[in-house]
Amino acid sequence: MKCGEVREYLFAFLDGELDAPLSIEFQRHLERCPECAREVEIERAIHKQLEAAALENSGNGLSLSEDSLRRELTANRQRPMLHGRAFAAISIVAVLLIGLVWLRLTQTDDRPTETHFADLVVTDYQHFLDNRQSVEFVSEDSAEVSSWLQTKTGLEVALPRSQSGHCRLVGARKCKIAQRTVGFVLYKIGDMPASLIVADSRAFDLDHFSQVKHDGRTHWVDRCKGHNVVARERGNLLYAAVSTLPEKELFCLMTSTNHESH
Amino acid sequence: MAAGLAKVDSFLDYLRPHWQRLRAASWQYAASAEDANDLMQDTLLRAWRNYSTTDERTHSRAWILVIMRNVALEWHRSASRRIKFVPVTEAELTEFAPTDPAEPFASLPPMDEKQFREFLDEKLASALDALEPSFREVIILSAAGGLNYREISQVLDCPLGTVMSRMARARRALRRRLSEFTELHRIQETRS
Repeated sequence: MKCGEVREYLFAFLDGELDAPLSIEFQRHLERCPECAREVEIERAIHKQLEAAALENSGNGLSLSEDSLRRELTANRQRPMLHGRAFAAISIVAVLLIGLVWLRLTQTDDRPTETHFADLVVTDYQHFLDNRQSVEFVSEDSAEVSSWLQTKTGLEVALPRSQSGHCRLVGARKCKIAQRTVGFVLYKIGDMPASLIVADSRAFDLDHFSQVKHDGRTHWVDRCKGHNVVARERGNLLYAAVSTLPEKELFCLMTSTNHESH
Repeated sequence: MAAGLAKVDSFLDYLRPHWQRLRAASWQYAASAEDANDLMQDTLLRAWRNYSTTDERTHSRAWILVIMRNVALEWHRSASRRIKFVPVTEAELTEFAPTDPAEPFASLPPMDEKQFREFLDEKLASALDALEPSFREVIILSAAGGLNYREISQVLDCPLGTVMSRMARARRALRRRLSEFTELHRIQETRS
């Protein structure tokens, strides 16, 4: 381990977050590097002082005790009828509301077909850039971003794994397109931004797109408001790349992951 | 009634190991001792209301700190001055400009152990107060809340990697603040 790596892992080491092999390697470095050992000691002292100060302050002026809480909770327990009635009333209202929402949902056409998909994704992309919005999760690691999007959107997102220096992953955000939760992934291709929308393919139509073959696979392409859109279906998901770049530049975002069967 | 009292006992048994950490965290979020007391009370009563309806396995320290944080956020949204430390929202947790993790730390002048402890006693709280909220919160959840990185990621609802990088950046920023204090002290001494 080198000094740079020690600085990188120092806080995780002090917080006990390094795995055993890395922790041993870290300690070995400290044994032969007095400069790094000094840094660790300084940070350890700061950390200990932070914790001590936080815990020391915690008692000042706080009057709430376990006994007073017990009295409060016991008093709460002695009013079961009021709580029971309130609960029943809330339950009835909730059931009615759920019924109304369900009726509304079942009466609505499931697919937002009135606006073309290309128009939707381009509008969202322009809105993102025009309003200087930011991604919520920044990482160049496609596995990390995929995992974040899976958690946030509930979609089984699998982003292209390998990115060349020309095509770089910036980060992602969760957003809604036509009331549907979708993943929005920001890339830089050269110096130009490009987005990759990941959506449930059952929610959107590609009726207005043209079908093309690239690397033996079916893709869908369209042009809207000066932007190119290249889309591809993988499993239940639709991946749609959007940018002002030429169509052929966007195929790098359609690459298969290692898990995908060709 | 007996079953009800047993539930109260069960709730208090759950709370006992976390009590001191909760008090420490409430002290950090709230603007005064009185507010910390109210924050603690609101948190515990809300936790109590949810205690029976949530799975026993979810009852961790992170679980109740999520509740405390939500109460603090609600106070903050209602423009209350009772919160001195504004909890960060998910969007604010984004890392925009990652620093080089191998970059050297801000320097501190040589001090013996006693001098360094006195220096920290005097300056650490101010240095922590001077940090931006998103940095401050991860440090608070670790130092006052006693949470590990995974638990902090649960409380902040963000990936583990974000907590790890934010913690490193927060501690580096804290070190910079401490370094600035020593620099300021040196300048003042030179002038006098």
